[in-house]
Amino acid sequence: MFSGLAIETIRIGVKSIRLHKLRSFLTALGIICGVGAVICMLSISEGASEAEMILIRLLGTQNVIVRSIRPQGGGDVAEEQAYLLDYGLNRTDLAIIENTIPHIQRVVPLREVAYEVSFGPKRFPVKVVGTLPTFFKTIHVNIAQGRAIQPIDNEKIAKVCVIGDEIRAQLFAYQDPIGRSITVSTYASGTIPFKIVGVLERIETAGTPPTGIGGRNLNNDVFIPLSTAEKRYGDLQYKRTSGSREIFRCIYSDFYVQVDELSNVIPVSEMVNQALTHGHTKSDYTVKVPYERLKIAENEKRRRRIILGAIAGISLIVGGIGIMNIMLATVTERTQEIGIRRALGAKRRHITMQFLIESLILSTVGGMIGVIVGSVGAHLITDLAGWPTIIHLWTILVSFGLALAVGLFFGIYPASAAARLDPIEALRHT
Amino acid sequence: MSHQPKTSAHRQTPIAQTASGNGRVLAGLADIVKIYTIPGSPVEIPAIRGVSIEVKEGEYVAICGHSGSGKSTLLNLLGCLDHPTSGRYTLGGLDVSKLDDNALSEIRSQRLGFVFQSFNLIPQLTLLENLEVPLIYQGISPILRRQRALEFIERVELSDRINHRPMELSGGQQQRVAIARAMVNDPLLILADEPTGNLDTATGEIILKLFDQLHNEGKTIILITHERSVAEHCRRIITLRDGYVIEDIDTRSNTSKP
Ligand SMILES: Nc1ncnc2c1ncn2[C@@H]1O[C@H](COP(=O)(O)OP(=O)(O)OP(=O)(O)O)[C@@H](O)[C@H]1O
Ligand SMILES: [Mg+2]
Repeated sequence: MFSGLAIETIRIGVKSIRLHKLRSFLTALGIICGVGAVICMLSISEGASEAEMILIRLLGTQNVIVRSIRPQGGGDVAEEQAYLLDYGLNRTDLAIIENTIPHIQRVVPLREVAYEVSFGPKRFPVKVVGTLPTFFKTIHVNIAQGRAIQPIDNEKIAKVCVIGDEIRAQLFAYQDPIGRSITVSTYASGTIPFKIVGVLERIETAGTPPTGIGGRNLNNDVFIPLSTAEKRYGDLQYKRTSGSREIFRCIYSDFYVQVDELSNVIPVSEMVNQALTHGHTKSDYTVKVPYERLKIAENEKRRRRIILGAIAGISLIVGGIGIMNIMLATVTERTQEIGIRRALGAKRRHITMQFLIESLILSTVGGMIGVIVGSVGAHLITDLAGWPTIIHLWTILVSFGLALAVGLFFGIYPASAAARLDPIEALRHT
Repeated sequence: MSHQPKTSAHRQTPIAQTASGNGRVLAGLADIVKIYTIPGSPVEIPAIRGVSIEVKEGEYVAICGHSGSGKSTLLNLLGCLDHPTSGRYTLGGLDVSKLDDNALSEIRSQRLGFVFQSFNLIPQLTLLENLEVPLIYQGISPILRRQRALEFIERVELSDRINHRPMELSGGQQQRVAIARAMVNDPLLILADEPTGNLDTATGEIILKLFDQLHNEGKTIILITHERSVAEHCRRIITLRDGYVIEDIDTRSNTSKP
């Protein structure tokens, strides 16, 4: 019996909304914009966070990354020509970390030896990096094609390499790179061909350059066995920059220190920092902790979610006020109808329901259109502005739920105002 | 005091027998007083100052009186749209003077039919839908509703206009729909506040003929008018002045009731 009445009430609501199409649309527009804004804002916030999170996870939350940095300043060009620039992580540092610091599973050193590769006539700026096979297990990047560097390669001082995806794209757009050789040339060691044995999976971090906090752009790296890097290339490197020449020595560009447990990551990073300070007078290295960054990023994500969500939420509330405004106008406009219905036997709750359902229909339809508008909007943002956006199911549910809540909340007052009307006075109203 | 004791026998028969007549009393007003107060002001407006009348089943009653004499107020009380300030109102054997808003709505839905001076059809709805409105609140199924609505619109000879909106009809036609609407829930009592007030004499006559017809079918009707010609259709004329009943006559026997 009641369900029949409920259906009737919904029909009355739909009818009244359809009677004032433009007005209803304008009212729903507030909710449409509100929901759309919530979805766009949250999708931007989630997208931005996600890109960063992916990168951090890639670098391994259980890792501590120590990285050489060229000291700042250091005189003019003439001076640099005269001196040997000696900086960064060296073999002593590696031994100290390996031998004195607990909770470490492995330390993977990286050694940069060259900065350009060529295939036939094509050249491409890269970083040629010597490393151990364990590197590929330490970071969470898969091999897309072929295989990783293996212990046997290190033993045999093999001239093989694993290339980043960008290099594949640039040099091997139309052919299979596996088994082909690329040439690495340096001033000191001449040109050496390396056979490609594997290609890394592409690292997608939409928008931001994919170097992330590790400071490495893995898409642009060429990995060779560490032993090859040490035997084929000396410790001294020559690099030509804008006409001048510099000589420098930087034994290891990075250490990837893998810690046994997540809870030890921060203590280990502090110990590493402590252990290294003694051997370094200038600040020529830095310790990076992806885990720490993860936590910062998570906090940031939460903050961003709240701020953007709140801004969008406000627009939803404005939409709700729009509904309330129109519903109050509708109640006034239909006072006589309310009186008639009351005289013909409608109870207060029937009147409440009638108007509440009307505002709920407005907010439901507005919410649904808003979800569509928001989703399209998020895609447009990605396409036009290049910002990464992600729409989670919960984003849609939350924004739609908010629309309903707003419709309910702002519908209650007009509906109960309608129900409170005195039937006689309502009847007299014209 | 003419209040009947609330015996179990009284409860069993919803329509009480009266000592004075053979017809059963449908609506009984006892010492009804209605005083309007304006919120925030000490002024009190006594609209009804102690009215006791009994309307029996099948009666056809006109309430007359000058403007401001309290006719509409009385009709609103009879129609369970308002609470009396004091006094007792029994409708079909049920004391409705103390009922809450919900229960009064129920009474209006089940036992009363209204016809207004300004027709008061719902403008967005078609005639048929207008006729269905009282049935909706009775919880009657859509199919049955439609059936009854069609049946009653037939009775006022507007079957060819069922899908029209009220605004597309003449005043007389609208009032016929309103009468059909007042009938559709098969009420105990039909109340009409100046049903011909907005109509010309000829059209008014058609409406009154409809009321006469309903009366002949045994319906109980109370209507307000200040036109003598309208009142003469009725079998009983109650005249109000300043909230008092000053005259209550039977037009056929021309005898005044005490
Ligand atoms: N809601 C109200 N608040 C205050 N006073 C009211 C209210 N309704 C009616 N009155 C007063 O009660 C008195 C009776 O009014 P009522 O409407 O019953 O007169 P009426 O006989 O129907 O007059 P008319 O023929 O003009 O319709 C009048 O003095 C009127 O001013
Ligand atoms: Mg009146």
